[in-house]
Amino acid sequence: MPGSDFQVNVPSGFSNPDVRNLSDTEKSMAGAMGLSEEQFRQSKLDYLLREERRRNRGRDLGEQVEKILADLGAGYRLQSVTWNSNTLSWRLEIETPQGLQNVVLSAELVDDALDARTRRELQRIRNMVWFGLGRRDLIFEKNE
Amino acid sequence: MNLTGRRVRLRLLPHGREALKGIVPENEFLEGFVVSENHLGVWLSLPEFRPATEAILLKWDQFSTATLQYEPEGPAERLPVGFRR
Repeated sequence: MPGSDFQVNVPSGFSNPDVRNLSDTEKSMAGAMGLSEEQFRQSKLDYLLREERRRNRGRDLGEQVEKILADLGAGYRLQSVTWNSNTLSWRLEIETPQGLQNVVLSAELVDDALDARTRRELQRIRNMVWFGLGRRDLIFEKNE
Repeated sequence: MNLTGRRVRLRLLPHGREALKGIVPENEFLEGFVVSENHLGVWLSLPEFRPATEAILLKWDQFSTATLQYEPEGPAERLPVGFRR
């Protein structure tokens, strides 16, 4: 979306992003896990690719949320989209006329909606954002 | 089907109506918005009866049916695949 400037935060499970050159810690981890360095390298690559897909999902989610906020009028702006791997959820940090607010969406809901991309599924994200911003009235005002 | 994020109309079982006594007026049906769901049941926001900052838990065994509005939806338009001359 033109003008998008929100951040997507997906904390990496690896402090060393280099897949080819394993750090000494990673080499010792591979040994402790009973993996060869090549097997560890492959697992790390798979993991980093999953993180990249997660980042793309966060970007996609943010673009959908920006459309929802645009309909709410001026004063609403998405600041960041952050993945939480402990709770398997996305946290949206949104600037509103009342100040910064957080809206948390489960990964399950987000995946359902963005995989299906039907109007009805995307409406679920819209409803949850409205609810999170204290605009429950909109959920019941408009037809799904 | 997941209910989170949807408006629903629930048909309460007798013990569900009993459990909600004093929270909402006694009625066979309850309309609300599902904020979340888990192994216990659904967390409902009830615009007619409770403030926007409150959600109440309705356990799975306290209602018999959940009704949702359904509208047929055509596929989204897709750009043609291939090369242009």
